[in-house]
Amino acid sequence: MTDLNGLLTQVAEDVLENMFFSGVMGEMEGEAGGERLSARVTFSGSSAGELGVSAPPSTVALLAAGFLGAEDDNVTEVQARAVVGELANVLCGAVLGRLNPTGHFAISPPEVSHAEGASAVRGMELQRRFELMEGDLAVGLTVH
Amino acid sequence: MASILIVDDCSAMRSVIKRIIGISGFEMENCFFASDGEEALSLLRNHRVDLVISDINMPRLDGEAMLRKMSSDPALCGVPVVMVSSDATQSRANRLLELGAKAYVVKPFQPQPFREQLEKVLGGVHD
Repeated sequence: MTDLNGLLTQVAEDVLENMFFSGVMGEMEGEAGGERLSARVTFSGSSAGELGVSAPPSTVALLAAGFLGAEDDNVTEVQARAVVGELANVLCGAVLGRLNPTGHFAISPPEVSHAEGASAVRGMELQRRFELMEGDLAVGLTVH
Repeated sequence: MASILIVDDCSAMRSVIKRIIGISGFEMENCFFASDGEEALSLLRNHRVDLVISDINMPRLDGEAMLRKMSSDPALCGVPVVMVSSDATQSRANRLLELGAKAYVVKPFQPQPFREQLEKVLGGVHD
């Protein structure tokens, strides 16, 4: 039986380090609150489900700066939304590739939203909240 | 030096790919951008491009359809295409390689290995 918790942590570390020049410092307890930028993707094929990410706008701006090689105060709302959507997309692809490397999957375009609390992640089977240098990132995963 | 066309509907991703290529030290003579397969084909018909780096899921004409059109066009079939995707499954990679992609790179990727892939596809060192 695959350890989904461990897989999610491993994938988050890998993606954040290699594409966002960031890193996971540890895990945080408790539900994330406050204003957050979120992205959710669904997947279908060999398995079906969804993956969501959520972070404070300031964290997304810093992650986007790392991703784009820009100054964080130069990151626009459009860029921040694109980056949080891409983060969800890449995390989902990486999780599915490790869960079932020989499977077939289709991942939906990300739905990006600005809301109170980690709405994109709430209700998902597996939820993790990672402490980053830039703030916190909540990740949720449901595999049906 | 090579002229590169980066095809992705996400502008942030186009910038990041260009940035990663730059970090790797790979020298580009020109770097063109297209937001989907249709735009890419139009650019290819009007500019000399040595290598295409393309996403798969895009509106209007996706990466797979663009690859099919390039393969069947005598003017474009010789331009190598490297597909870049978040889809880490072997089945997707195999399908695109069978359609004519010269390499399939899964995100996230690091500058040096990416550069090595590009040089392997182009058949030489570019720095």
